[in-house]
Amino acid sequence: MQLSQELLFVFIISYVFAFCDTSPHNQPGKGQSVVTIERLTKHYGRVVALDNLTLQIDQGEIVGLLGPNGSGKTTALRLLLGFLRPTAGRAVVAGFDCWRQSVEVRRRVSYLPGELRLYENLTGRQFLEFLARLRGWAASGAKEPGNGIPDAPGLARQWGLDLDRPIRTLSSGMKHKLALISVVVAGTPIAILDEPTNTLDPAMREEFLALLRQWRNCGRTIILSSHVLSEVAAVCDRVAILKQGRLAALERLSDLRELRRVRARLARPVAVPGSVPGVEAEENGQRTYSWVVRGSLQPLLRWLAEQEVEDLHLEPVGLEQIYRRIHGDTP
Amino acid sequence: MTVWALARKVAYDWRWLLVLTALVLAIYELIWGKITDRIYRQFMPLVNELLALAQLTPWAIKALEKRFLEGPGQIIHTLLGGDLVNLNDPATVLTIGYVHPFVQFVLCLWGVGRGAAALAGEIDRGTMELLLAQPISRRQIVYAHLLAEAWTLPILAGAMVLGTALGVWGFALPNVVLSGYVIAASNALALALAVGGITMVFSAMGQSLWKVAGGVLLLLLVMFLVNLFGQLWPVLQPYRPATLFFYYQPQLHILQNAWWLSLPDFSYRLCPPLVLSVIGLVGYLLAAEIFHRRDIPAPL
Repeated sequence: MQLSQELLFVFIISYVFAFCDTSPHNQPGKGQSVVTIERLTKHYGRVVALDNLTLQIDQGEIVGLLGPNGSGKTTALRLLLGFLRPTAGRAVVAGFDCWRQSVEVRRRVSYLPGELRLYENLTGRQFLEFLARLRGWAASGAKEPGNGIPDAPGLARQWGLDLDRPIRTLSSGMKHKLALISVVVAGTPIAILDEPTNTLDPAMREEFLALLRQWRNCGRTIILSSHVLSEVAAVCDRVAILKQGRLAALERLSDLRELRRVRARLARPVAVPGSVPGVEAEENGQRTYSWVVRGSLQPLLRWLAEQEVEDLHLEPVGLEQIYRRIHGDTP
Repeated sequence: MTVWALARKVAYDWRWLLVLTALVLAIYELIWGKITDRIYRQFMPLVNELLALAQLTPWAIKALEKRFLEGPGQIIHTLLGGDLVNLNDPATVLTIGYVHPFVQFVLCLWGVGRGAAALAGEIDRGTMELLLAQPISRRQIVYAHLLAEAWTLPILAGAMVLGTALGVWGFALPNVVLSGYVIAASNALALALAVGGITMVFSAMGQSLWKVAGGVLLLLLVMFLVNLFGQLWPVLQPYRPATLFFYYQPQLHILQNAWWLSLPDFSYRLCPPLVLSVIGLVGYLLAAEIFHRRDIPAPL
């Protein structure tokens, strides 16, 4: 009885490790920095596409890059993949310089381009097999890069994609699914996704976001750029908001969830006490007051209870508000 | 393995165009067998008979020939091999099939198409992004295309020789030594490789298939004209060795049945297939270095 319990324990442990196995890629331990970006700058002639971006991303983190078109998101991703030579600064992924050792970087990174162009003359199966051969495997699905990584045919069946159809006959949504499959089956410890849910239907979008959370639980690191704030808020651990090539804000989503905005209109102007515990920022208008509070609301509400309050609004400070503060209403 | 996988895909992508181009070249050489047969067995006996009836002296025949080849006639005469061709000898008439501008155009089109599509074309289509997201270096991409050329170009050269051999056999042409045509076909192969190498250099710098292809075709047209008119006008003659087409000498290869040639008007001996192959390989190496260092623009 004792022995069988031990066997069961070993079985469970090995299953968990097998599912999350990323050992072939020699990645650092969870919590360690896998992506280090130091003062990364890219100029296109006189245009500054990215300006002094500094960012560290830990293993097992999902980091979202937000910003309107032309804010430098895609340039940052392309610099990480070694498509562009930095004008200044450097980026290091898994210990490898993104420009000088880009092949080693790309061995550890799978990428979903924002502007998706596939080999239209191939079938889905031929396409996946070709990419698998480039990664040095015999064929996609037949030889998996690590245990627990879904096989391509299984995933295609699950997502309703016929791998034997020529890519040119697939709809844009189906092409996107095929590209996502290529990213999933690559099984790399890091994934860079440029607007990954573009053209996906709502159900598929939810399924994909769930997959991203599953990846994170297995220790994979994901960098994604998106225009959909709700999506970023749903899956990301941190979000970097770019404005005109500069890092305008770097927020931890868990911290944002603790922030609330309190707005009140009082019957007459009052002198607000200098320090109400938890209040991080305040704005005063004519008889209207607004506070951003971290943690407990008690001290502020206690103070407000002593005032003649005409109107009171309480709302969480979401990503959208932060984004609006930086970019206005630009999508 | 990565280079091999990409080279296989390139060959797969080009398979139908390869078959089509090989068929065009083989059929063209076969047709030249038929043309040679007509000239040798029907046209020249008639001309010779007429000349005999007219009782012209050899001097008068030469003067007539000179008059006939003045102006545009001289250009056509030069294009088809000049004094190397004797219409009474089928072995020399058949060589026109290798030097004819049509064949040179097809070989150049192959080299330009392959080179322009390899890098600029992939960037143009947006698939370079996908390719470079895999663990493959930019140099490896260029070398994979070179490896693919190592399979495809011998097929084109083989098709030319096969077409000629079928023509010689089918029309029972006398005095033809086929080994000379094998050397000439290798010269054709080397021309396509050199054109491909030069195109790759431009392709490594560009991002539009049509701009690269158009630019290289224009450059090749200038080279072709300099080489052609360099044979007619002494002022252009020193520039001929700066053109690729100066090193395309299939007729001399066939008639001399040799790899190393003594060229008329030039004092040195050279091996044209070797020169063109070196140009092609240097082009590929240069393209690899340029492509390795450049930024890859986002797809438009």
